[in-house]
Amino acid sequence: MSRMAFVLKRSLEIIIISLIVMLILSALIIQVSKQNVMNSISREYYSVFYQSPWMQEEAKRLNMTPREYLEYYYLKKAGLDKPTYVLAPQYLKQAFRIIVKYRADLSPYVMRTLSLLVLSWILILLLGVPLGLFSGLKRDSPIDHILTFMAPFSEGIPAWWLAGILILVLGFKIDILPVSGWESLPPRAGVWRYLDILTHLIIPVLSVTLVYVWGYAFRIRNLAIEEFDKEYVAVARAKGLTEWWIIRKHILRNVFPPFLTFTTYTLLDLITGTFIIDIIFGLKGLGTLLYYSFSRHVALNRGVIMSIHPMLFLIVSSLIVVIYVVAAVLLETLYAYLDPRVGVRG
Amino acid sequence: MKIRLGAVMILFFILFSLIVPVIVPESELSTWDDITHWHYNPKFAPPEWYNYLTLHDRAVSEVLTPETHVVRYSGVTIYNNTYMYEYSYDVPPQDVVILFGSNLSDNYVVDVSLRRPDGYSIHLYSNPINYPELFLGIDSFVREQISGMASSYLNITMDYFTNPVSLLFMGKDRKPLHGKYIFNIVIYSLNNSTPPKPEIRVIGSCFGLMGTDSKGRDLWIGFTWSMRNTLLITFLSAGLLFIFVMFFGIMSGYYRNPAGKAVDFMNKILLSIPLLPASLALIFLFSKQASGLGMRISTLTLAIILASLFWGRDARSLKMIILQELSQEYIEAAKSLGAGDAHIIRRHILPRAVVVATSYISLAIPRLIVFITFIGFFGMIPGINWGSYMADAYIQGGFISGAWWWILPPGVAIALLALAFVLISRGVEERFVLRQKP
Repeated sequence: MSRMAFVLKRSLEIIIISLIVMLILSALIIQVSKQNVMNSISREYYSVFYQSPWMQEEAKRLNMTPREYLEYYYLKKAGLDKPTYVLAPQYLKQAFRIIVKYRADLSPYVMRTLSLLVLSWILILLLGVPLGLFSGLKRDSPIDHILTFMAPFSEGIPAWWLAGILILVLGFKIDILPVSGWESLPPRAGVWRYLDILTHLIIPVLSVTLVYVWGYAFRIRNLAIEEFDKEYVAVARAKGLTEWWIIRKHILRNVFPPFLTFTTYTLLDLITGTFIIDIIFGLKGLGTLLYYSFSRHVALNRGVIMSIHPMLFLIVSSLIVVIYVVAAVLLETLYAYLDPRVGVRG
Repeated sequence: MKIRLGAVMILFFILFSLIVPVIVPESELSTWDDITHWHYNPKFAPPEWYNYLTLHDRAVSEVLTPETHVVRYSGVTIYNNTYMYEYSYDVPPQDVVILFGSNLSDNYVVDVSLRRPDGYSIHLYSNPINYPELFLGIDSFVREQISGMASSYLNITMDYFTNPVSLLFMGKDRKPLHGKYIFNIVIYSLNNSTPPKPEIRVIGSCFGLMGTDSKGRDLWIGFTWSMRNTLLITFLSAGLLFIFVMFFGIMSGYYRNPAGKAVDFMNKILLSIPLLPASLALIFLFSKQASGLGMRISTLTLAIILASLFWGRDARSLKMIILQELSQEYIEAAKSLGAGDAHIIRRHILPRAVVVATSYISLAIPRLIVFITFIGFFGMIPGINWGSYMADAYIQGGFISGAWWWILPPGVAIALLALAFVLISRGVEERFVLRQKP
């Protein structure tokens, strides 16, 4: 199997699974919308029913109770009278149509999320790879102990909390960095604008990185230990090659492909983490959009009501899946070109 | 050792959440969303013990009771109430409230004045009593009076953003003026009825064990009840998660038939579902809009939703372990002796799977807690929990104004819990998993 075929096969698998995922999300959202319609049928709707003879006639013709007829009528009015499995692909198609139509409005949100994601990912790699390799090389050193402890521990630390601490320390005690927003208002001109955005991103990126870097470094460490224990490393050492040379020529090449697979699996966790950070810092990315697709409002006589904007919700979750698919396909391609075994076998 | 330490920590958390209803009665929580209930608390105030850590002492909340003298004078009865307030702090109180009580009528005329330690007397208020309470920091009449004192005596022009009460406690040198403050409330009763006995509440600038939020709510109540609710959801879903992981892990690891393949496929989908939107939609779907309380969903349903979304990663790891185990020689031996599937699973797979799953679940619990706070952030978990607690901090500006007493405690508690479960997981691994390796 050639590299190309491998990449195509894996990409196809990812795309099919993601399509199923999007259909599931779409079905969920349709179910939610249907429930919203059903819940909204209140006493006033019954009075509408009893005041309009044509409604009663039609109910009699269809052999339905008033409740059944009202549900049928309002579901039909909302375009939800078909079964969910028929509606799910339609909804999804409509969501993508809206994405394409309003791409100019949506792309800034996607770009902001992507820049937060990519910058954090780069920082995670820059810190995590050396950390993992070092603690793999110097097993049982203090740094190794810290890493093996922090890897599971960091999963229990919420990113928002770390963000809060960083805001307190860097934003208030030292007061050197901006703590909210995507850029200063009004926006700066020219190159200064990008610098301004970068300074606004420092604390968000740091808080994502400090939570997720340990898991990645730990993975690198375990993979590296596996490689360091192999015989060819001992041979290379016996030949008098330097550790640096061994790491560069052997370890990194063998560690990176499985590490990429690990990255693909944890990508969604990372995206979830960036969403909360996005909301806390008011970066106006996809997380903020998701946050706004739920609203709490106070209704007279009913108290606080949660409501959901189905289409916005579906659009945001589809965009997450699309980002995931693109990233996963890129990572798989990289994997195919980094792992020498892919092109050779069968 | 590690297991014991972790277990003690977790036990402490569980016991604490069990006795929460005893130390903080549920009736206090029922007023959590009622803003008017928290009127007499300072807003945005750090906890009281913070005074011991800093050089700037913050004023503590106090209730002052009067000494009353009654004088009758040609048909008018004069009630002269004197209040003594000892002020020795650096940060003045946020406000001073005079509570006149409830049985008011137009027959009472009130006259409020304050004598400061430096001898200056300021007349604060004189009117018929129309309202049951008088906030010195908010009332416009009082504000005018204090503004006059500021410009004539303190030589400060009071702008719109100055808290007038802070000027009451400021000396001519613009430093806090320590000493005895005497509030004087004179009530003239025009008929012969007895007027209510006013009470003065000094609203300090620090409060309780954990401070207050921007609505003046006692965060200690919110924190303890959030902990109780969050832990309840977490442990319930962790129990379900254990069952799911065991069941699906053994299904997909042991059985190589269509059922096992189906579990494999479900797992693959689960691992590429974005958990946050999926769980939000599911919770919305299974909740009811209840009047007055917002959403309502039973804790069990919530736990089932969380557990059914979370089993993917751990079941996959368990499957790998089981596959490893199946390739061992003694399984072959058992098979050749005619042992059935049920026997092999019960005698050989299950003991190891239980240990491995325990280790996984104890690591999954911190992740679950973090995830619950994520969902709570979107306001999708009914009732109060660490997520909604933090969402409040976010919405009310606790993050961007650096209210450490608001942000730090839940995170510290979550981190301690995570630490306990990591200790347990590593202890279990060291004791059972690693020892079995050749």
